[in-house]
Amino acid sequence: MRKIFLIVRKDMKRRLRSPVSVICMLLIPLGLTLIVGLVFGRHGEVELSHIKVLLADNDGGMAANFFKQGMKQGKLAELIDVVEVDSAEGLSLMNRGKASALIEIPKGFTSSVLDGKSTQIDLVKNPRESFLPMIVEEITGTMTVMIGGAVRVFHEPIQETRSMLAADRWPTPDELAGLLASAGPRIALVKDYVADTLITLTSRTDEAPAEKPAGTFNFFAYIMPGSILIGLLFISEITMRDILREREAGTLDRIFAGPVRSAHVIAGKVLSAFAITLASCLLLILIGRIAFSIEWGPPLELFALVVGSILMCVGIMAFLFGFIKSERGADAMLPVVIIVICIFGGAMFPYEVMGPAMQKAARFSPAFWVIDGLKLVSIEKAGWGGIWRHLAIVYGIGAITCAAGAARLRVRLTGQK
Amino acid sequence: MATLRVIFHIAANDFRLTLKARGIIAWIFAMPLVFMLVFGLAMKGSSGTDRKARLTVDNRDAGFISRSLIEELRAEPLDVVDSLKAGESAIRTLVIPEGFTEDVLARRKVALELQKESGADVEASAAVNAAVFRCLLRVVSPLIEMEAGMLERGTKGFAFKGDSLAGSPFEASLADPRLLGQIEAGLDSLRAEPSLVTLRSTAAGALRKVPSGFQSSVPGSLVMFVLMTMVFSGAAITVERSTGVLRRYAYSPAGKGSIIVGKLLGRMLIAFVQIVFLLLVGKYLFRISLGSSTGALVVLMFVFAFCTGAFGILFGSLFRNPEQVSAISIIATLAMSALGGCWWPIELVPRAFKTIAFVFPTGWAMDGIHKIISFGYGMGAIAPDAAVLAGFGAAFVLLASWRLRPTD
Repeated sequence: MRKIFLIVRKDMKRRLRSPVSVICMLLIPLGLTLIVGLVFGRHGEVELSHIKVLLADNDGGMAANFFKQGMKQGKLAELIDVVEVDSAEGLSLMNRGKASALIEIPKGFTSSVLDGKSTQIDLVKNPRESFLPMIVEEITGTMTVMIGGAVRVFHEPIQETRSMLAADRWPTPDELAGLLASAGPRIALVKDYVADTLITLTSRTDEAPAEKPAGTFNFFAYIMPGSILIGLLFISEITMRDILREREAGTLDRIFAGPVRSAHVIAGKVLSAFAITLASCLLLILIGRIAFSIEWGPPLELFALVVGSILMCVGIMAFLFGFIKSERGADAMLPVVIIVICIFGGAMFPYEVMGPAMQKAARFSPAFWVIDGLKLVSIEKAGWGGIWRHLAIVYGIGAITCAAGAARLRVRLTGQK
Repeated sequence: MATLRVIFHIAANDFRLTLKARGIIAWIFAMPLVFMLVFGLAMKGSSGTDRKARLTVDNRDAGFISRSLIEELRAEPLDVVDSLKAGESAIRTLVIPEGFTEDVLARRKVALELQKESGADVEASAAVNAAVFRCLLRVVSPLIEMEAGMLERGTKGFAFKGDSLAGSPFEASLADPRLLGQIEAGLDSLRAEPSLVTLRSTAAGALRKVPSGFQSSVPGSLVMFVLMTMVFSGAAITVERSTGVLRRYAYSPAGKGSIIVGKLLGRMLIAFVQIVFLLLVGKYLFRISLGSSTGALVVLMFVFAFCTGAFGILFGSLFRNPEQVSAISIIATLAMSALGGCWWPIELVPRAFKTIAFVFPTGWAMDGIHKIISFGYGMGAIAPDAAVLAGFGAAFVLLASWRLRPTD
């Protein structure tokens, strides 16, 4: 035990004398959290600036006006900035990517619609943008259906009004009565659907019951767990790498010249990697609390998860270093393994926004169980009942990889000895 | 001539050594593919053309109005399913309640419910919401036409008195059971009529083609990983400084300028190999468009390779500890990529960050690439981006040559 303690102490002292590499690795999660947090705001709500939509009205008639007014009404006005342009100017602006979309109402739109002839609205989307043009397309598509429906429902009264207006005289009382008789029931029928909401469409999202107080969501708490895991994997990698480095530099040969067995060295290296990674993690959590105001949740559950996560990170590295023969090999393999684990586990891109298949795939990455567990503890304030599965998986992976890695390293170091 | 030979010798040596390092190979070829795939899949829903949003319909009604609604939903760009296989997730379910048709015909209030599972894609759910609303409009407006016809014909059990309605089509059908069949046939016939107003979507630019999810992820990953490769290659210069290799160069006939130009050329070659590989993968594996101007793409990628290669040398000249370089290079490249618009659609970030993107070479590179592959433009359009990238590159080279002292 004393021999292991001496190895751990030596490694810790060496890291304290030259902490630059660990500090640099600590900067990765902090930098990532800061950037994403700054861009999307503390509450993580993507505050869409008004969608700039260009509208070229080549018609100028009643139906076109109805369309334009519809785009500027109510909630749409909060979402969309309609800028009226002529077609040439609109296309020129779109070709320079200056708006999300251009809506072109064709010449003769109103007369076509009133005559019951098919007509077409053109939507030109900004190919550089992914989301906003799609929103405009949905809105415009719905507006076209509304106009088509309204014109069909009121076709007869509209035709009567048009013929009255076309005649070069005042409408007769009979004509007016006919118009009212034709329009009145239709208005009543439409009113039932529009004003009295005869058919309603309600939306409901099945949420897991959570006791999170409204309005206290901190976006940093949502992204920092993933960033922390990236940092922990890199820190455990550089600390476990000491085995290779000391082997290549001949330091291990000198250690083995003393009364030390390979098991002592392996235990010492794993423990020192564990201690350094744990200290780094605690520091990150502290910085998260102070700099990003993250309330990390129940401390015991958090600590259990942190210890399990570090055991898992160190175990994975011990296992991988059991197979890697040189520093060049480590350079080639480890960053790739770390990034793949992190990407698929949702450390760099939240798994919540990925498709269902990717969300299922994420569960096969060990990173997922750490990140999801940390989010549950910090955001949902989950207790033991909420994270027992995460703890079991994380500790399980940690124990298996530590044991397998130690066995494999022992074979390698015994050969060395 | 001798100087040129020295430059080419240094460039060829760096190129050869880099391609020998398996770590760099993984960063050059393997990792960008993983990023393109993951980011592309995550963005797919946004394009609208790549993936249909799924809607499970739980129809508890046996009437013709719910059938009409489902037919309209099937005509929308949705993946409408009515039964789930074992273990399959519904994602979004539209519940059509029992007696829906009768309630609508009886003009009784009725509610459709769109249930979304937790974690369902928000965008796709919004698209489904809009589609259901449109389909309802397409069913309700011909129904109103039918009902108006019934009122005008004076159908028994359904009338317009004063300024309100009395009775309903359902009540009328109690007196005349054939009426329901007539309404159903009339509704089908009216729905079959072509839409009065249709919408045609195209994209701006010369290509007029709506881009797919990979059209965003491929350029973003390309820019990020070329930058990352170049910055990591800066670590090699730090190693050469710390091991004295650069000092040996300095005592050779090669001058400081030749060393820097040779190193830059070697890095540009690596960047070009990576760029060509990633563009080919984008075109043939992820099926993205590379635009119609190969010349413009070559020019832009050349200046981008120059800019990032120079940035890598500057990085190598700034630090003495290789471990420092690799950690700081990860932070620097991630920050420049994220802020430059490689990670998320630039339209989603606040206005200030849209401006900040152009503080970095990554922002200009992304802008230029999109002008070529998304808008389909040529040399004229990318000239400002290419000029700025060349300017960045020149500034990096000047700073690097000021900082780098091979004799140190």
